[in-house]
Amino acid sequence: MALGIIIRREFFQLAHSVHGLGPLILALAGSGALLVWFLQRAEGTMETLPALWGLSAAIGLPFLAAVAASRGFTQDREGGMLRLMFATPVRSRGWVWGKVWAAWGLCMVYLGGLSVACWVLLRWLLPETAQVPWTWLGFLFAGGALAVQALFWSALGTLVSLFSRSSASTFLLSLLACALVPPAMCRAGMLLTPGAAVQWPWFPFQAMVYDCAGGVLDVRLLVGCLTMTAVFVYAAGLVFDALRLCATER
Amino acid sequence: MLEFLEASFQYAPGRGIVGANLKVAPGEVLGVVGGNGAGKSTLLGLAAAAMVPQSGEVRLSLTDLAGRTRRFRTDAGLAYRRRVGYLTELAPVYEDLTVVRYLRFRAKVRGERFLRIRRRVNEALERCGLVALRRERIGRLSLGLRRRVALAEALLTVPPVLVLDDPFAGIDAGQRAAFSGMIREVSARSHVLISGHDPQLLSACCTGFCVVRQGKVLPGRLTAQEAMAVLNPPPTKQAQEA
Repeated sequence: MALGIIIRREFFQLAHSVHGLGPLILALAGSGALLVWFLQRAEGTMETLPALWGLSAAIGLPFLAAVAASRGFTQDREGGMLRLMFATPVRSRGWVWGKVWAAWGLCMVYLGGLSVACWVLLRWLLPETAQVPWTWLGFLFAGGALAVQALFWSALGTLVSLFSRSSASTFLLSLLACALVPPAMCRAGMLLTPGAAVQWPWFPFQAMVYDCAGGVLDVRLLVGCLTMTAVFVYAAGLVFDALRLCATER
Repeated sequence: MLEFLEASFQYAPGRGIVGANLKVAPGEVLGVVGGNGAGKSTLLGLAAAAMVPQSGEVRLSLTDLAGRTRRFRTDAGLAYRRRVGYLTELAPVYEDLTVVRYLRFRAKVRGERFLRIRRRVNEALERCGLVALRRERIGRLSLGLRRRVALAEALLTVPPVLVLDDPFAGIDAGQRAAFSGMIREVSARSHVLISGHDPQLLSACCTGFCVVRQGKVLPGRLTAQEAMAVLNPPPTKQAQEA
């Protein structure tokens, strides 16, 4: 019961604050513009709408997740709420999952907003003669891949927020981790395994969404994302307990 | 009975609490006084289970009407924390919520039964004189009123252990008297620990005092005058001559 209450409170706090609403509108505007640009570029090709929608959403997603999750524990620390949380009869996992799901919820609002934008484009703004191939299944797969990724980024951002004392530094660290670490790791993988048959994409997570929209489901990557989410949440719970044991908060 | 058994917590050598032995009986309001950095907040943090003792233990024994005694420790599980009301030094509150929403949220998180929440919140609002401000956003309230909201939160579930860290900081004399009355009222069945710098200020609500000095809890219960004398010893002859 406590988890549901915490999620609701955290989500509404995020959605009502400038720190949540501002980046959401910014990400929606940016991704909407990107979608239009992708559609123009795809004229005359066989690109499907779910793939373009998923790709435009996937580019803005790490930014939004980083912003949403970075406020997590940092604002509680800034306001002195962390000490009160330690004395509250809620397990550390409860607090951590509350923050993670709240940030994930904001990401879902973003995906919902972009879906509406896509529908408006398709319904009213495209010329009558335009043929854009799309299937519901493509949207479903792309949306699923994005939802899993959002959970992963949110968990990572929440974990980072436990270490930092200011929102700005947490945001920068989360953004670096969310946007730059995957391509950096892929590049490192390619450098370390020269001549390997597999070519790592520059942006593996974005490529994953693109593939999913086309029906190419890489289950390993999805399971990896979910596993890492569980690891991050577990680690964040341990860090939260460690902060209670070390009592560094006033 | 709330007991500290050789409880220690040190941030660094010489900072924190070392080997605290203390007993607080139900209905007792114990004032914890001492200078800055003496270790009062650490002692109260241990009592509130916001911190876990590095050695020793803090435990609560509660006897019900049937005579059964249950023991709870601060370092194990959530059972102890369900029985604590804690007002921290900074008295943090969620500023974006209204008073009543904040109290409702805290009551739910603290595990209060669903059917009791409304009653508990209304009682806390009445007790702390916040009924007129129930729909007010906390961010718009003055510092004193925010502290009152934080106090209402601490009293919300009528906890057996009430830990109030410097509750009179930033509070005017009128509100202080009201706070004292409130604390006396709820202390009938609770173990109450209040920290502060001045025993005279706390004397309106405390039944006894203990002094914390350089991380050690001095033994024995003192009156406000005795605690004052321990904190500010009269100058020695040599000092007077000098």
